[in-house]
Amino acid sequence: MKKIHSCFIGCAIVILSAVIGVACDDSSSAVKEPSPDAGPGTGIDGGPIDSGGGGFDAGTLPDGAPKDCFDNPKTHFEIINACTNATRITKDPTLTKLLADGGLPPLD
Amino acid sequence: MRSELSRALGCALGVSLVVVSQRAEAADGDACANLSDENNSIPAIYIENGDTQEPVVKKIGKLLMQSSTKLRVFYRNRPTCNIRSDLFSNAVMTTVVDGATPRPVRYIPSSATFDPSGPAPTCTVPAAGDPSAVPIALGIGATYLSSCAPTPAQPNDIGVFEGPVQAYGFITNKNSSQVAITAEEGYLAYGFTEGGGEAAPWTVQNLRFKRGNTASTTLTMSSAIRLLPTQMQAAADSGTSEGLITSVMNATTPEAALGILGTELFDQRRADIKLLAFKTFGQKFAYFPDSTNATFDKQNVRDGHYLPWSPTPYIAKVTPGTKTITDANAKRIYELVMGTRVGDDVDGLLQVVQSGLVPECAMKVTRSGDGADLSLYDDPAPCGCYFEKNVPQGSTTCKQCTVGNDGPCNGGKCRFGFCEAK
Repeated sequence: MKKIHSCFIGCAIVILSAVIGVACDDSSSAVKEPSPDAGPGTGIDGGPIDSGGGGFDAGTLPDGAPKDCFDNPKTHFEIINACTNATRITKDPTLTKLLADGGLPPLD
Repeated sequence: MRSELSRALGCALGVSLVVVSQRAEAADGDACANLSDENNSIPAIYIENGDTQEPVVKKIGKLLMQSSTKLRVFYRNRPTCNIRSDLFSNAVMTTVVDGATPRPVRYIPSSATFDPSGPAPTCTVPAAGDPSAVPIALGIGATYLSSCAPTPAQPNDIGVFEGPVQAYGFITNKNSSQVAITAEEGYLAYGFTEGGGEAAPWTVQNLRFKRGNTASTTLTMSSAIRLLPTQMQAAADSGTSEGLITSVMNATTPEAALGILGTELFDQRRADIKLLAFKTFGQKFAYFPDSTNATFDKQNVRDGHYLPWSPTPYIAKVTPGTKTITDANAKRIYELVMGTRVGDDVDGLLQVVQSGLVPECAMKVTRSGDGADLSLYDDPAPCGCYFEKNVPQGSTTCKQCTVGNDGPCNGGKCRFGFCEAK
């Protein structure tokens, strides 16, 4: 009886450890949404719109404001800037190393 | 009391050992041709694959071992351009070390309890030059072969077939506050040596990580930021994706850590590392591969908002002048992956979808090579509904159908159990 009792305690230790391990393991696939103040020049959809795209003409909204995405994309530029229900993140860092026109500098 | 406690601890240890031994399932180190505790007469196939493709190889491999028509998969993770070179030169499966990185051969055990999310056991293959070595029947790369050196040339009896799409991304330490990276930042961070690129916070060269220059991850990600693999200034080659993940996790300054990784490997390690949203050249916003950073739908890969991706090329011997794969087992695996095989008890397409890959039939955009512009894609037999439904946490508003593939459905056609437009 004592042996059974001891084994029960042992098994309980193992099961409890496993439960604690699972509870403490932050392996949930539920990744939190990034915070709007996650870093300089970074913001979730709804933040200021980048003006660096140059020549961005997706038409206007009913109130006359410029649209920031394309409804019926056909070209590469329109596809990557198509309207979507996905999370959009504004990121417009100041990169002093870029050329004056925004182009990439040659490598050293 | 003390003896009771030690008996309890002993029992706990015993239970633990049982658990551990069940997880190990099979012994490592046997000769692949003579595995102990396994039926060595089961038909076998030897595969070389990118390490990003290992999850799907293991999942399908397990189902093949449980199939009524059993097939044992032996596989080895290898950089894509090395796979190309091996398959284009009729290489056999011998011991390989790439630089300082050994490339062990693994196999799928027969046990029904084998867990594909854990490591598969290893086995040994003959040394180079040994005539008993077995041919590599299938190569599974993970980027456009046009990104590799053009030698050796493609023989006329070797075919290259486009498989599912694989996405890649920039990763950082879980404790970093960063959520997105622009292509310009990527270029400045990886294009310059210590401190030179001024792309804060990614200015510490030893905390920027990459894979080898022949690995698909490096090839696709470097092209996404308009660099060549050799131009990426980083710490020493991480050797494997798993090694790279460890380096990013252990970075002494989390904010400065930056790495590159296949997204289906990221999907398995979301608790350990963070994937940055990516904003390509000329794009207004940055996007995750998925519609949010908590989903697995690859929506932005499928519709063209997320740029770093490429198809996975399947390489195998063909009848010269045709597109018919000659090795029956390689043909079976390719057809399972593409969802075109009829009458098999293995659902390969489901494993593809649940592994974080995107079948071509679920894509709405295409491109001609690494870093090339996107154009719209309209698959002749779309499977977007099936894809949306079967990804982890998936759902679809599409109507279900039971009339079989190609059957009429809502004015369109039934595809994999759902009504598609055609």
